[in-house]
Amino acid sequence: MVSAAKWVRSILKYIVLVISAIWVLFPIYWVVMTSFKYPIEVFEPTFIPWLQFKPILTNWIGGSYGEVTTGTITAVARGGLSTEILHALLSSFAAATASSILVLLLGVPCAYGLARFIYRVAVIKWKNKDIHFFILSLRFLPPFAVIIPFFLMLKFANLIDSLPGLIILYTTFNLPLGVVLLRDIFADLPSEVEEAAMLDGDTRLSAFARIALPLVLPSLAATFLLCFVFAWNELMFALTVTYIKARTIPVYIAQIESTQTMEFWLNAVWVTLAIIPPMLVALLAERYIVRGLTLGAVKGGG
Amino acid sequence: MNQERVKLLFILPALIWIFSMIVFPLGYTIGISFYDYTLGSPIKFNYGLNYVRAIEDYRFWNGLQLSTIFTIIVVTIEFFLGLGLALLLSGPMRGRRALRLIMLLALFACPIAVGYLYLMLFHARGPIDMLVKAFGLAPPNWLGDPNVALLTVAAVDIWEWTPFMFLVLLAGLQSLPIEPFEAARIDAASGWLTFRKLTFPMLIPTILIALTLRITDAFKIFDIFVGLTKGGPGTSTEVYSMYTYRVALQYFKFGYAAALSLIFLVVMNIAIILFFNLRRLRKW
Repeated sequence: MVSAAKWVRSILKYIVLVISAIWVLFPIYWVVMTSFKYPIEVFEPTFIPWLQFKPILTNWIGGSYGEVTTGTITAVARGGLSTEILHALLSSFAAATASSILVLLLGVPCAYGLARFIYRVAVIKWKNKDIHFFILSLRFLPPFAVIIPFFLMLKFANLIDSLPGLIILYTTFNLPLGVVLLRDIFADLPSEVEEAAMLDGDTRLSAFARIALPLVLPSLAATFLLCFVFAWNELMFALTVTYIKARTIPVYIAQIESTQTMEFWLNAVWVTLAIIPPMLVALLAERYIVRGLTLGAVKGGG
Repeated sequence: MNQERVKLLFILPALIWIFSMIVFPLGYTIGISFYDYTLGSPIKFNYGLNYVRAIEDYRFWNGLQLSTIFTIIVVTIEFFLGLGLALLLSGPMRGRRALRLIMLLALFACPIAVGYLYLMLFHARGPIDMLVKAFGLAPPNWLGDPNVALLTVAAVDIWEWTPFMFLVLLAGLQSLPIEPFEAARIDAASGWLTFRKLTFPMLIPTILIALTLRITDAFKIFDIFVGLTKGGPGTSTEVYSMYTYRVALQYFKFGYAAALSLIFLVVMNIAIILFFNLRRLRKW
């Protein structure tokens, strides 16, 4: 037996659900569609390709817009997929991947150590919890509190506008998050199996590598993906230390306005290229997102 | 190898990295904040004059004020929208997983690109003006009017970060124990009473964590502003991080910029300490 009130409530729920889905999706959908429209159609209220407008690839790969009157726009156009943007995409991808790998290489042992051993720092009397909180607190550090020394350090090391410089900064920026998340993951793992293996002759190192590590592989992958996304989306550090050679896609976009007039059809291509990869990666790490966003303070949700 | 050495081997690489890449640079920032250090001119110790200069600096107060207003506006709206959505959709229903995934898309869209995307949406001929005109209203100059620009950026921030509140609060709601709610149902408690006496009190730790994280992030926001307004028109959207960034990397006044970042850090610290105690409350 379903009461009328319950029906109303259920319908209301779905109305809200649909409205919020449209609210979130519309801007993304709109920009992707704009990247396939003729320049003169950019602000036409048309939404469905083939039905309402004829999708074209010219904005992406360049070439001629054909016989359509293009107003002030030259009929032969350069595409949004220029060598510069491909270079920026490659920089973003390389910096995000390499730094996330480094975060795991440095972070996994540290996290395991914090979860399994007891440390005492002599002078300041810190224990595991204090080290852990200290690392956690670094996640709150506003990036501009360290950009000046970063800039000077990279300048001194001759690493300005280079991938290694960027990778160092992104590793630094993601390491606290990595350690905190991974520590929780190791702490949730029962230690009995490793202890049994050590009684059977394993060393601590081999017990870690043979037993603990394989069990946390999915979480490692999720941590990697989160670090990747945060590095991909980061702007301030990249803007500080890269200009042309190693500029990432956010830097490329930040530089657009100063170098050319508003060519919305090309901007749409660049925006699409910048936003789609981290979205796909985030979908892959879906189950770990809430944990990652709250530094391990809130878990789960399905 | 003895046990002690193995133990150190595990944490030392990361700690050395953190020390040399975060603690040392932070110390350096503290150091130069006491110097007159502008790129290209001699470095002079100036006895904390940078901090005095900040107090007399119109743009410092402007940035602090704008960041505070912005944070209050966006976090309040994001919180109520996120909580409302999470509460409404927390029961068993179809389509929630789809909405979760859709929400993730906005949350992980590259913020500077989102700023740029909305630059197009808020264009005088763009879809938002079209919609406003369809209702017979006159759209404001979203990004060109100094009185409106901050609110426009706030709207974009709300688009990007309401999903954060929704996802975190939904996860919090779903991890609550079932028994008290069953007892409430048996006692035929009203929905509002259940929320006030059960859901809300049990959700408080999650709410506080979500708020702390959002407040600290909104307070140091940079990228969406770069995409949308670059601080303009005039200095009407020059939030704190934007001003500090400019002092450091456009005017190259390193000493003064360092002082500005440290003032900010002190303000932030209050929030950090709060977060620590909350996390402890929940987990330890």
